[in-house]
Amino acid sequence: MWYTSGTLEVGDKMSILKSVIEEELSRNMKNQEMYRNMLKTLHKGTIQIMTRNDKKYVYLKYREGNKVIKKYICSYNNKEKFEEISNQVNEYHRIKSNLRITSEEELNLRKALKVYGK
Amino acid sequence: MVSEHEERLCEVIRQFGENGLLDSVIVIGSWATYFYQKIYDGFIPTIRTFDVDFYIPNTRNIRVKKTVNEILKPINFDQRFDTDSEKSKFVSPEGFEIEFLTKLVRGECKVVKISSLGVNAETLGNLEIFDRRYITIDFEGHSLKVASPSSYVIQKILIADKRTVEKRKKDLESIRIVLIELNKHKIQIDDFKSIIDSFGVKRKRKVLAYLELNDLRIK
Repeated sequence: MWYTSGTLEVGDKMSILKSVIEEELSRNMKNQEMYRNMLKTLHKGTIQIMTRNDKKYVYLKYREGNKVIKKYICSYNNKEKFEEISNQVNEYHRIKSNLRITSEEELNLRKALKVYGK
Repeated sequence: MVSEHEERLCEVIRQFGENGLLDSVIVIGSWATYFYQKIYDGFIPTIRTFDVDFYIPNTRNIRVKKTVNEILKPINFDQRFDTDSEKSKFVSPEGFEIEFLTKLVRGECKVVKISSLGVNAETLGNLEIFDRRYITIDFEGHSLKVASPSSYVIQKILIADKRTVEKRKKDLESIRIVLIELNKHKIQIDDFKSIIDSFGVKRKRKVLAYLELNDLRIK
C-alpha cells in the first residue's frame, strides 16, 4: 500500500513500483547476508542452570546435527560470564527472528515483482 | 505497509529525541514530505521508499548520550556497513532503513566517520541548502527539523540528472504535489525564490530549466 495522490500515468506508476520493489529486494538480500554473518559470531542454544552437590552451574544446550550438546559455561556465581553468555544467546535469537522476518519479506517482494514485472 | 513504516519512523524519532540527537539532524529526502501533512491541510505525500535520510549539517561537536547503534538497537535496528563504500545504515528486519548524509567538502572522502554517533555518513553535493532552510515540527514534545518544502524541491531538482529514470519520475511526481501546496503560501514562494537568487548562474539555470521542461510554475 502506498500513498497514491500522485499525478503519474498508470504505465509510469507500474514501472516505478517495479523499480522500488527491485531496490527493496536488493536491500533485503544484503540484510539477510548481514544477519547470517552476525549469527556466525553468536552462541546458539538455550541456557540451562544445573545443580550438583548444592552448587549451581550454567550450561549452554544446543543441537549439532542429530546430537544435543550440553556445554559447560561457568559457575552460577560468575555473574559476569553468565550475563555475557545470556546476552549472546538472546542476541542470537533476536537475529534469528530478524532473519526469518527478512526471508518472509523476500517472498512477498518476489511475489509483488511477478505482478509488477509483467 | 506504509503505516507500519510510519510507526517505525515515529519510534526512531522518539528515540533520537530522548537521546538528544534531534538537534543535530534534519530529515531530508522523500520522508520529509510525510511531515508536510503537519503544515499543509489535506496534503497527501507520495512516499515510495523505505529509507529515511537524516542530514547532519555539522559533523563536529555533536554531543549525544549514546551512539546511534545503542539508540536504535532496543527497537530492533542493526547497523549494516556497505562493503564497497563503508557507509553505514541502520536497518530493521521489515526493510526500513535509516541513513545519515552530510555535505560534500572539497578534499574529503565519500564517507565521513562521525565518532560521537558511531556513524559513517555519506557525503553528497547540494545538501548545504538545508543548513538554514528547514522547518521545525513539534513531535511529541521534541523539536524535529525537516527540510523546508522549497529546499526539498530545489534539492530534488538539482540532483535530477544523477538519478535513474524511475527515480526521476518518482521525484517529479513528489515535486509536483509539493509545489501545488507551496504555491499557496507567499512565505514559501519567497523562500523558494530567495534560494534560487542565492545560486550562481549555472545552478539557477538548472532549476529554471527543470521547471520549464516539466511545465512547473512558481507563482
